[in-house]
Amino acid sequence: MTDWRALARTRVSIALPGAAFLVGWIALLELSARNGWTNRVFSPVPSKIARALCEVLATTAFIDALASTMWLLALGYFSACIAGVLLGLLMGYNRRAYFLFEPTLELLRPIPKPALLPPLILLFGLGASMKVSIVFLGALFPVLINTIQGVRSVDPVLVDVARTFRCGVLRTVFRVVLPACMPIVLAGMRVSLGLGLVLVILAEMLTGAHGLGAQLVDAQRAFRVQEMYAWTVVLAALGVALAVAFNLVEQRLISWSSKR
Amino acid sequence: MSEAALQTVPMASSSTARPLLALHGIAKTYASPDSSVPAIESINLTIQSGEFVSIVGPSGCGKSTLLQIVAGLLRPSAGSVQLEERPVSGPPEGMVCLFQQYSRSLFPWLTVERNVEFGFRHLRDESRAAAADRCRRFLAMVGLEDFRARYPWELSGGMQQRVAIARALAAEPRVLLLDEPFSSVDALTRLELQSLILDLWSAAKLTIVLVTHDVEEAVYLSDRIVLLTRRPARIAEVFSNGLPRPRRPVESREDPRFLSLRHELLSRLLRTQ
Repeated sequence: MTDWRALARTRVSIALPGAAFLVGWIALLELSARNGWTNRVFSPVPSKIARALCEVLATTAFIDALASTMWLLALGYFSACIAGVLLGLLMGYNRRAYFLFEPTLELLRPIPKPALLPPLILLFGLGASMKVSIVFLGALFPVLINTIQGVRSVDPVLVDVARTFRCGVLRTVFRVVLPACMPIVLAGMRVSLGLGLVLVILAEMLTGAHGLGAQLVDAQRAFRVQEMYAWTVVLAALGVALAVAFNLVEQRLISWSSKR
Repeated sequence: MSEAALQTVPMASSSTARPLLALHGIAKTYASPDSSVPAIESINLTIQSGEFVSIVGPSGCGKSTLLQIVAGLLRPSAGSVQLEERPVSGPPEGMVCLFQQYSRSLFPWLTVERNVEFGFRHLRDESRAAAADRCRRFLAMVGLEDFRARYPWELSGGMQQRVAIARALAAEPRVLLLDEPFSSVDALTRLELQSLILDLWSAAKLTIVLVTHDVEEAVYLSDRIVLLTRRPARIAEVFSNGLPRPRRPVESREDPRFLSLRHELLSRLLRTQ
């Protein structure tokens, strides 16, 4: 039987040093700002950030910015996931399709995705379609590459089972190949989600009209320094929330793969 | 296992004298850039409806390759397979192959019931209730009706192979191809699964082709035993098995006819090895 108390004690003893270091670091920031060891205007002051954060969270501007950012991220991310999986299944399953698309993809893939922002701004302007496009392009490749890899790593016995039961191509691909490579596909989707968040914030910072990225830059340009830090905290929390949500979805979808 | 459950399997028609399954000059050569390796050379064999035929041979001789060709999963380099006088160009209707690696052949993301359903749902126009009923019936045949909602990885190896057997039978094939299906379970489970297959074979009037390296298994189960040579595989000899039916797991193995056929096959195999 598991000794839950001993387990809890072990967990606390593992987590304690990390928590203590974090608290110490925040206290040091507070002390150094108050005592003038660092720049009084620009340095983060935890107590003031906390107050600014409370003010920010109470405004409708916060809800608007969060909704705007999340909406663009969702549009770009989910369309990239769907396109990446479909194209990945096609390229992983069909050699001709692979050799047709592979050179183009290898050319586009190494481009650091922020470098696509200037051309996209010219093509789509500063509005939502530009931001959705950059998220889409950034999020596409990890999903696509992992899906191709995943399809190729599927156990041929599973495909033979589908064949002996006379499954057509579509049934084999969507009922056997896709579920079998889901763990690898989801690993790609996890990378894409992080990348998508980076790109939507970056695009908003450049255009400065709507969204969390725009609020961050606005606060900085207006020298509302502690508010700027408050928006950074909001973004950190958003990153954590997305990762947690992703884990929950992943666990539901592929709980079988860890238990096997 | 209930008798009633077994009798619900439709009977395959066995009135024709023509062979159910015919292999004409089957050959398989694996070509690489600088050489070609013959794996199988001109195999001719006919199998009647309702027969239980085993194919034995030294390991690596190409018997699994031969079964894959019969199953329509692999194209022969020469020759043809005919099922009920129609050439086999892909997995044909009425024939199902059961793979050696049961743990790799069940879908780990589907429950036992959904795994069984996978084999027939797309081939017949059936209501959800009728499909569920069919799953229950075939799982009952292999003694797993209480494990419908479990996942394959929650079951033992022998139980997993039973699920694979139920899935194969739920598709109601006339011909069942078995590729060393009992080679990766323990000895006692193997005896149980062999008895199960014999029961299902006689109840469903199936035709079974079994590939195995286990001579005792071949003698215990089959009507005829096809002995293959070393690579490239050719038919060395076809043995008729006089061992009376019904076969009994312990007594049949002590029968002088069992022992003499086993002796003959083993000594032939050891000589070719």
